[in-house]
Amino acid sequence: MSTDDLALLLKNFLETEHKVIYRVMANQDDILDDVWGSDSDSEMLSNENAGYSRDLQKLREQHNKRGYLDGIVSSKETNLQQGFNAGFPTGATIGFEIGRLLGRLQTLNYKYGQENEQLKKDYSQALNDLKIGNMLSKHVFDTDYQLPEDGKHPILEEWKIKVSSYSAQYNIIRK
Amino acid sequence: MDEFDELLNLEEEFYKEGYAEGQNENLKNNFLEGKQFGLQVGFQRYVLLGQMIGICDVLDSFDLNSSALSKNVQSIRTLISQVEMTNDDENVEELGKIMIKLKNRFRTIMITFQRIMKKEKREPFTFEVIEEISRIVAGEVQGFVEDEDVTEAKTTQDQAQAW
Repeated sequence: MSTDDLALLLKNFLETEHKVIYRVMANQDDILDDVWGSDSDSEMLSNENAGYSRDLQKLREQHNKRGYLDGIVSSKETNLQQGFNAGFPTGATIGFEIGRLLGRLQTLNYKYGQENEQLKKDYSQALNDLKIGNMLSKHVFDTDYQLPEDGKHPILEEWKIKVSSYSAQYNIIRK
Repeated sequence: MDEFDELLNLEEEFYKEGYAEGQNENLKNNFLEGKQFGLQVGFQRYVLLGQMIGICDVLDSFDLNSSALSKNVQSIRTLISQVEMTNDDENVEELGKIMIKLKNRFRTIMITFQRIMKKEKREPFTFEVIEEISRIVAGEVQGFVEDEDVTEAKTTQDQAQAW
């Protein structure tokens, strides 16, 4: 316990238990000065949370903060891992699906891009639209990193439609 | 009990109170940081698999007259159908093994396809080109890891300061 802590304790004692403060003070001359030298009209402030005195509030704040920081560190790794495992399958599904769309477009563009200007344009547009930064952007996911309520990714849906029209046009068998 | 002990207990009590708050506060923040990172890594790890299937979809539909190519395409489909999309240790290890086979087989597919298409003058369409597309779309995994660390450090610091 630091000198500051002790001073706080003593000040609080002063408000409530005069007998005790005198006993402790007898052995703490330096603290004695601190106690008497500082804010002497330490009236009881009503705290909406606890009804603690102001000094006790300070004590609480100090130790609560220390605990809070330790609490943060202790749970960090577990929570990160759980979050990672929760996000991974969604990311994997989106990555796989946009990969599939790009694979189709790239191959179709390879074969027909020279004769189909729109296909060529769409392929290069897809390479831009389907980038990870756009796909996992905060415009799409909410603050809890959830997809919109229907579970559908708007950019992915848009491109699924475009690619499936090319698939139909060039008789791609697989749906 | 001595009043002094009582106050020491109070310190302990305040500490525990804060500790529980810290754990709960971060439960959500860290969970979300982890989730964001999981989304990124999941995305990055599966783009190339999707590309392979997409390319197979189109190759299957071309009339290429190559039984070797059809056989390899079928084997790509079988391998990918075994892949699961979770982050369990076994799945990650399994994906690593399958990925090696997939890459080798896909390289062969693209070489065969190029040979068939040779009559027509075109840009090369090799496995390296496909991997390059994957990198363009999914980014370098290493880069995202670094970015993420910076964000995390900031967030924790902000929390402490905001308090």
